[in-house]
Amino acid sequence: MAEIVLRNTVKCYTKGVPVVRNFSLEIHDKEFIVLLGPSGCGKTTVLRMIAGLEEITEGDIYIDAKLVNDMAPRDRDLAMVFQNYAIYPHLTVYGNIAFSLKARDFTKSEIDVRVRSTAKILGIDQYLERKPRHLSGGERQRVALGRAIVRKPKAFLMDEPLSNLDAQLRVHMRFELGQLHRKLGVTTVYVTHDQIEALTLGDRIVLMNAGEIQQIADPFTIYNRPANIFVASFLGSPSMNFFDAKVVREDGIFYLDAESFRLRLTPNITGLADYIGKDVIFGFRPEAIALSEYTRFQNKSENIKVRIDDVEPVGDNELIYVSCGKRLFIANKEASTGVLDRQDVIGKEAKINFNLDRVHIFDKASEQAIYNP
Amino acid sequence: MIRRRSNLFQTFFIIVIVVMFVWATFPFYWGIVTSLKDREDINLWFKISLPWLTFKPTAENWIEELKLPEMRNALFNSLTAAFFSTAIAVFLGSLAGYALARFRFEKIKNKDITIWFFSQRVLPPVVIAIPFFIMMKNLHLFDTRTALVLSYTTFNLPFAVIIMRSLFLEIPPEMEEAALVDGYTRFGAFFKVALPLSAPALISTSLICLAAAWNEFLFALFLTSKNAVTIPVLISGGEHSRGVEFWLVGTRAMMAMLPPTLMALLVQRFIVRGLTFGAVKG
Repeated sequence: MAEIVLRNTVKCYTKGVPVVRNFSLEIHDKEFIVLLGPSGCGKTTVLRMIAGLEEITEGDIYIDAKLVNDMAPRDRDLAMVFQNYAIYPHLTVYGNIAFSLKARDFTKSEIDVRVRSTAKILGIDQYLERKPRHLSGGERQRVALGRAIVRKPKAFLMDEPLSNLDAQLRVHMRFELGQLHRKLGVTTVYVTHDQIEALTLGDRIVLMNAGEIQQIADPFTIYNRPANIFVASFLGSPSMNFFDAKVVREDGIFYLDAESFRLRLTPNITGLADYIGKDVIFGFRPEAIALSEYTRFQNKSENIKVRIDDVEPVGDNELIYVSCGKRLFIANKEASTGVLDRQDVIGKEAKINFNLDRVHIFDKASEQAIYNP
Repeated sequence: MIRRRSNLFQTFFIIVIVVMFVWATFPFYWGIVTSLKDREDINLWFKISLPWLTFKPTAENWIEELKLPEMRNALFNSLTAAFFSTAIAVFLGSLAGYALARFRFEKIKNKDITIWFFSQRVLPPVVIAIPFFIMMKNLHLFDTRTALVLSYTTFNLPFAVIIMRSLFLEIPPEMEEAALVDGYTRFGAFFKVALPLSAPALISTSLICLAAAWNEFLFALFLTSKNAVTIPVLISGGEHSRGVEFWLVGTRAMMAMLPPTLMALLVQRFIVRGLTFGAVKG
């Protein structure tokens, strides 16, 4: 069990070109923290810096209040699961799981007990004598996990461990990982670019972009109260719809004037006084936009005329692509309310409403959130 | 018309193959047949030699040669020089190849170091033969097996480095990183993970180095005179004042050929794998 603290860490591969900038994070004991972000944002580099596989250019890393900047990976007492599993093809499953114990001079009987109990936890006890090439993707993943948990390390570091699995198995392994974490209660740092994994597994999510932290928050907060436009657009599938508008105040009421339509904001929205007459960006998630005839919003905008460009059925929902002048956006409609006939509606005019209780407003220059519901 | 052309092409193709086959196998045939001939039969070289039909085969040459102290000495010299030079070259080559594959060198870039190694391999050996001779003479190593081991290691090392580097580049670095996190040092990860994973390449590299050292002639000729003479030099010495003693040359050539041939047959799949390392990205 461990607390991991990163303080102002910087990583440059080429002098003066940081891939991780001023990264500070406190990971609490037993916490499941997810580093999320697009490819190349530096999340794996952060994980490798914690593991000791990358030297840090600036800053400090502490594990259990001990400075580990110059400590070799083997002395940090962490376990790592790699994206490609990195299980040793020349060893059996038993040999793979026992590998780290042999490195630390455990007795033969202790190794045997630990390997067998770990294999049992992961349901791979019947494959102990097999070579990895005779295992399926999911079984290999379990071996990699087994190698990590057998040593009872201070923390687990996982680098996109599910990305090589097929969609179905990924969902199952995600569930198992969550269960395993609850069972073992070991501090876990998990890297992924998959927002669903991040939202389902993480106690907290660290969303990164271009080597910088964009927001650190629990899954509910990061989805519902994004700190900036990047966070708002990265999380959610399809992502949030953004519109340019001017803040207008008439008779004490705030409006967002988007030229082709105008939104009357509810009185509880604060922080807009400084933005009167200025340009802002406002956003609605697809589920906060609905065709007028299906609207169930308590506090809805006036009807806005749009053209339906396409309808995509995605199981229990339909994604409706609409355009209003040059603006294109996506609304989400539950399929249970009645399925739209694609041929019938595409190219036709329709009316939509926004859910005014779910509006997000951002500063246009800094892209930081001004208001979140 | 098309059929006739394809028949013609086929006939031509078969003729080419037969010529190539004879070209490739005749020296072996000649060597084997000559080594089994009686001295008197050697003079019948211009006739087609078929054992039991045109001459009576005999193992006399082989027995005589194996009894010869120079032959036994040469066999021992060749074996020790080839074995030790291969062991040293492959060991150092693996370490250097691993370093080139895994670490980033700043002052002299990895690519430049690799090209430098490669340049040592393409250098004509005769260029360094005389400096080597002078060096060994001054070090009092002339006509010793140590001189052979040192020189063979020198020309085998670039090959071992380049082939091992290609192999280590093929092994995902995460394998060793996992070992580092699991509790091993860099050396531990190298010996416990990287080396076992590269076993096929190690075998093929060793065999190719072994064959190169076993067949080496130029350095052995320059650096030895009597005590450390190797098989290839001994074979070339089959020419006496009496003329070329073909029966000796044939027998010695066959003796020299046997060990590498047997080994190559035994582990041929590793050789092919070794020669194609890095050729195809997995």
